[in-house]
Amino acid sequence: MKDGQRVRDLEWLDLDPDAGDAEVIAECRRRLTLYAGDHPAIYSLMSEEERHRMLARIDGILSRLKKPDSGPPLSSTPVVEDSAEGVPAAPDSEAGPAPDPATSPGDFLRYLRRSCGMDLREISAETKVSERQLEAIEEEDFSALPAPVFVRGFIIAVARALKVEKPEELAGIYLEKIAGGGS
Amino acid sequence: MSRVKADHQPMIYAVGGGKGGVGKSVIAANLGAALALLGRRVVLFDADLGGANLHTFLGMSSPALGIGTFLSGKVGRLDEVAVDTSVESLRLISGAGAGLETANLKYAQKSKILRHLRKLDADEVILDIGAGSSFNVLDFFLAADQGILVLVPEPTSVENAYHFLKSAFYRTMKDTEPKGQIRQILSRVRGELEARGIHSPRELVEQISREDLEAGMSLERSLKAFRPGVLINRVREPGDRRLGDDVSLACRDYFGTGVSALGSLDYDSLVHQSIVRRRPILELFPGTAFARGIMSLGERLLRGSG
Ligand SMILES: Nc1ncnc2c1ncn2[C@@H]1O[C@H](COP(=O)(O)OP(=O)(O)O)[C@@H](O)[C@H]1O
Ligand SMILES: [Mg+2]
Repeated sequence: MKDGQRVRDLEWLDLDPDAGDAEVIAECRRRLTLYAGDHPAIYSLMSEEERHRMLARIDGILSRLKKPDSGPPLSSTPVVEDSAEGVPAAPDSEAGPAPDPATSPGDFLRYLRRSCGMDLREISAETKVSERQLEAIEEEDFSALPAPVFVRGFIIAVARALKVEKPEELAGIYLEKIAGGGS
Repeated sequence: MSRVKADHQPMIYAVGGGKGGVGKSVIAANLGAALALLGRRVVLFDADLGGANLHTFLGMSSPALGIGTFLSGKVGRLDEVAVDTSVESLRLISGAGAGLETANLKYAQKSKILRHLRKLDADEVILDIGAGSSFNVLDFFLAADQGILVLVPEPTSVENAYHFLKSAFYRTMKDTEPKGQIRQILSRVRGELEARGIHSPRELVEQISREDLEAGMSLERSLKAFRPGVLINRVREPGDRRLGDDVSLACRDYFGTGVSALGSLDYDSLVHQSIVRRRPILELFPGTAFARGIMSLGERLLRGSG
């Protein structure tokens, strides 16, 4: 089952059947930039509906990748659904309640990171997002972050490293918060 | 693309792009000169009837012989209306004075031209197909071995190029055998998807394959054969060089088949000067950016790595 899906994903990305996850991620990143918004190269090519379907397709491919060091694919991570639209509650290995990802996605990511016992440097090494930017993400310091196009990719990468069930959903919440002007 | 042709037939290139003023003609004329300088026997064919001006780029007044002569039946072969230019090994079939617009060519006239293009005594044939996306313009583009879609880094040009590509894809699909059956399922599934806001040919073919595997496979086959290249012209910002790669990626995702990136040509003020002096830029300013870009495009096309 899973292999068939993998073959389809690789084919969709125009990659060789034996391509590794790093190549898949690189191809997906290129496309996340291309379809994130007003890219001049897709002007008038597709409807908004189609653009969102492209993004969803890419998110789907990314979510089917295995986590870097542990076995099970992301989709089988045990989830405790909380009220925030399918974003999982953090594993409560640390004292205190998990921040609500719907209102404080940055705090939520920091809470998750700490509860995994990881520091910024480790996350940075894994996601290739700089420590400074990781900090800005957790602080929700939007002025220190690049264009939303890139932030989206960052959040997805970080969320994935932290084994969030639906990274793209969290990215969506985060971008909405940025779009809200941080007012 | 494959450069191995049967019976020494010429390799046919078509320069189009949907939009006027993007540089199709200046590129066609100079690419012709470049391929000739590279040792090939080249024929330029001005298929932009109604807007024919390739002769002017080569410093010729409107030639007495041309497509009009051929269509009137006064001569039997296109070779007889291909006139020499100032560049050795480069001949021109002029579209001037044909007395009609490309869009108004009759089906029989267009078929006759397409048939005879293959019989030209040349190694390379370059068509300047002009602007627009009319059926005849599309058919010249689709008949070529290598389409060259010229666009400039402006949204209007990107828009016209995509309109052109979409039209060309649907025309290719509709001409896929067995035509009757394909057209039927195509219009039904297309209607269903478009009602849901989905227009992408790739999803269309995927959906058709789910319903009718055979129809889906023949569509896929004919779309695979259509592999135009995109060439970005009048680049002023280094970042715009990437436009071709990005368009190529988006096309791959949207159409499900390859549109290759043929690179880019810089904005070059000497292009204007060369046109005013009515000489190929390769002759006047061979060292300038545009001339070097055209030469390297020609080399790449001859290597077949377009
Ligand atoms: N690379 C370039 N740098 C500068 N000017 C260019 C370049 N390409 C085209 N032009 C200008 O654009 C104008 C339109 O070119 P033309 O080949 O006639 O367009 P088309 O055939 O697509 O309508 C020309 O007059 C020329 O001066
Ligand atoms: Mg022209």
